[in-house]
Amino acid sequence: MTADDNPLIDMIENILLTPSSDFYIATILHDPNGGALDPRTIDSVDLGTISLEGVQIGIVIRNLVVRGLSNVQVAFDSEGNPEISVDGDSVTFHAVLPNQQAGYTRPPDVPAVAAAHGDLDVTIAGQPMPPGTILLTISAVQDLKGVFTATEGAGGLSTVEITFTALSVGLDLAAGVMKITVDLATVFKETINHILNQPDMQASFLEKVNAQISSPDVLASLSQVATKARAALGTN
Amino acid sequence: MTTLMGFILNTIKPRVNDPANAKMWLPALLMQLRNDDGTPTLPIHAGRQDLGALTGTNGAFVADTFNSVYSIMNQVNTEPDPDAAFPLLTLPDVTLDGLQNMKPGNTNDRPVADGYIVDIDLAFGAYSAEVEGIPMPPLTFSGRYEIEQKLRVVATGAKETITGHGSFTVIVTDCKLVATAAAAITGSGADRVNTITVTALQIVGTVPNAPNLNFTQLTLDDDLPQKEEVMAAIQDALTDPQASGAFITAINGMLSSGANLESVNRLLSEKTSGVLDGIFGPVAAGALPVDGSEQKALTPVDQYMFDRVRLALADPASSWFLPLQLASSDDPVLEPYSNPQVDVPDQTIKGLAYTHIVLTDVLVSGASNANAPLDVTILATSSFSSRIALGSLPEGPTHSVPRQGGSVSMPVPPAPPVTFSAGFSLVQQGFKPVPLKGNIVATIANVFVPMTVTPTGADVDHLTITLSQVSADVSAAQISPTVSLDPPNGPLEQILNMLFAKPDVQQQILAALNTALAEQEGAISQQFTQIARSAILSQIGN
Repeated sequence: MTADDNPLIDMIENILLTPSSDFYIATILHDPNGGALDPRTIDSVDLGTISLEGVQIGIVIRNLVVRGLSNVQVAFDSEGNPEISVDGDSVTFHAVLPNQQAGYTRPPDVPAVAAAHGDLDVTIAGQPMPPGTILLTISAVQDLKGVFTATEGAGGLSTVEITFTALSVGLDLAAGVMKITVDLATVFKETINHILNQPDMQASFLEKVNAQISSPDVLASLSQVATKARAALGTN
Repeated sequence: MTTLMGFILNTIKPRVNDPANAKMWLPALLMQLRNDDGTPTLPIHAGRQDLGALTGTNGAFVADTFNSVYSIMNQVNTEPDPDAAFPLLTLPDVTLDGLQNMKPGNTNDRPVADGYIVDIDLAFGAYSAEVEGIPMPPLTFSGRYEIEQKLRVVATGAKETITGHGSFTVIVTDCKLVATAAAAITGSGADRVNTITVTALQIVGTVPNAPNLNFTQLTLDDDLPQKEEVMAAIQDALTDPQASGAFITAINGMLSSGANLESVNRLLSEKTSGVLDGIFGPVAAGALPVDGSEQKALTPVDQYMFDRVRLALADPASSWFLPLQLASSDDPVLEPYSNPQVDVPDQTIKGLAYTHIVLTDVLVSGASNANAPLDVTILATSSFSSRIALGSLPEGPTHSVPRQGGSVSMPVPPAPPVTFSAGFSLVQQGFKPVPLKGNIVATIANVFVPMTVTPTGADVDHLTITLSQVSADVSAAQISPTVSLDPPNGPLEQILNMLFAKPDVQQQILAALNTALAEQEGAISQQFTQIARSAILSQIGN
């Protein structure tokens, strides 16, 4: 089915694309209570162990709080069509950050530049270092992809359930959109900063973050927030 | 402002003066008056009437004439008895005819604590000869008279009496009858009864020194000397204003006698309850609503009439039965109510704009299933308000109701619930405006229509019933819409179902319908005016 022959697809586009809509893409991804993508607290990201001149350095990020990832809008293809596709009851959208759509007002708790901060647990040769901090910024998101389904609940359409089945953040790391800064009381601080800002290391980090935000728990939480916003589809 | 009683009087007047009105023409009604033994009341017969002494110059002249006649007859010198110097006039047997020959003129009504006091002027001699088989003589007083004079024999002081007997016929002119009646409510609460009682009937002059008495016949039976002179003296005495006054007093006494008023009131009460039952349908004893303090009537009579209306609106046997009235409206037709196009203002629903919302071929069926509950139908002196419940009555029997181009049959009231159907088209605004069209059907339960009804007009021919503030209230309603799209589209139909199920969308549709209805308030008011007029007119002979 294409947008040309099914007005439902046009309506879903309108719903996701209209800034005033309750189901606007930036709106459903934002929940001040932390239930959606922005803000999102990731308990821990284990970056594993890297070997530096024979010394094993273990890096684990804890309590990583990511803010600003709702500052997105639906992407448009080269022909100016929104990148939204509908297959049965499944809707896939692609979005970009920052949101530059007229009519969108960034909520006060959504920073202009997506950023994250967290605690840093580093072990050197198995020995824990004093706690450090990590700060990262994401200046642009090339492809925030989401997939959700809308299905009827037990109570008919008034209990329609929005279920997110996938969510991922795609970054053009080669373009240097991500910048990581750690602060740690060790002589390895500069080295660790350097390593973490390597594209392959960032890719590994991103992969682990994506694994977290597409975990069943997070998708379920996001689904819950989106289901509340389903009012935009017509229910109360 | 015309009072209710003024309205009734104004309505009745031309009809009681219309010989072609078989139900209300006054002379025909008056000829129906019966005494309690069943004999006709008119003309009024009465026994002995003592009119008292004829005084003044003419009375003294009669006394002198009788004295002279007695002296001649008995060859004795007499004089009028100083203790009873004037002749006494008695009417042993009289008839008052021509009362049916009357036309009501001016009326006056005054609201009082228990209802109204009404004065009605009735002009005599309104018709001549015979109309509709009823003889129409002028107001004529006739019968027997006796004039008795006490005398004293001058020589002995003995008292003697001389009496003249005869017949008279007098035509009374330059006068009118003033009927005073009280319309009141007796009893209380559910047992109230409306009564109209004539309390006085008085003949009064219409010009100075009136009424005028014209003797057309005067005879003296007694074979008296100087009979011509005696008769002349009697005629002079009887036409004397003082005697005329006594005659009129006697006539008034006859009119206002208990027996006469009783027969008048008996007929009045039959006719009144007959007309009210005819207009509103009969009300069983003890079936009237008990009024709370929210009812604000000018008088208890107004409240009683309103209570009859309230009962009639809910009585399937009454021509006022609300579902029947609504079903009988044929311009506009309200059952079913149709409207070719209703424009609904643009909607913003959950942040999305919907524009060009048009409902086409709107059809609302079952709205004539209307009930005006007694406890929310409230009189406020010059208007009343109600909150009509739609779709709350069970389906009724089939009635024939008028339509342009021929009557149709339908159940009155129609089976609940109220249903709504329409075509719709709308555009969802956004990145790509999405035009949508289809059909919507809905059942509507628990809907109410508050309204204010203001009757105005000086009489039934000018009666105007104005409906205002008519607007359906669906705040407590259960509305179940079903949307079908053209072409069909299951998921989208479900989304639009949700759209039309939203109370704020329903409110907007309703507001648009209410606006359309408000534009037709005039025509609908006119319909109800016609229906109310004909319900009244059918009972009072047009």
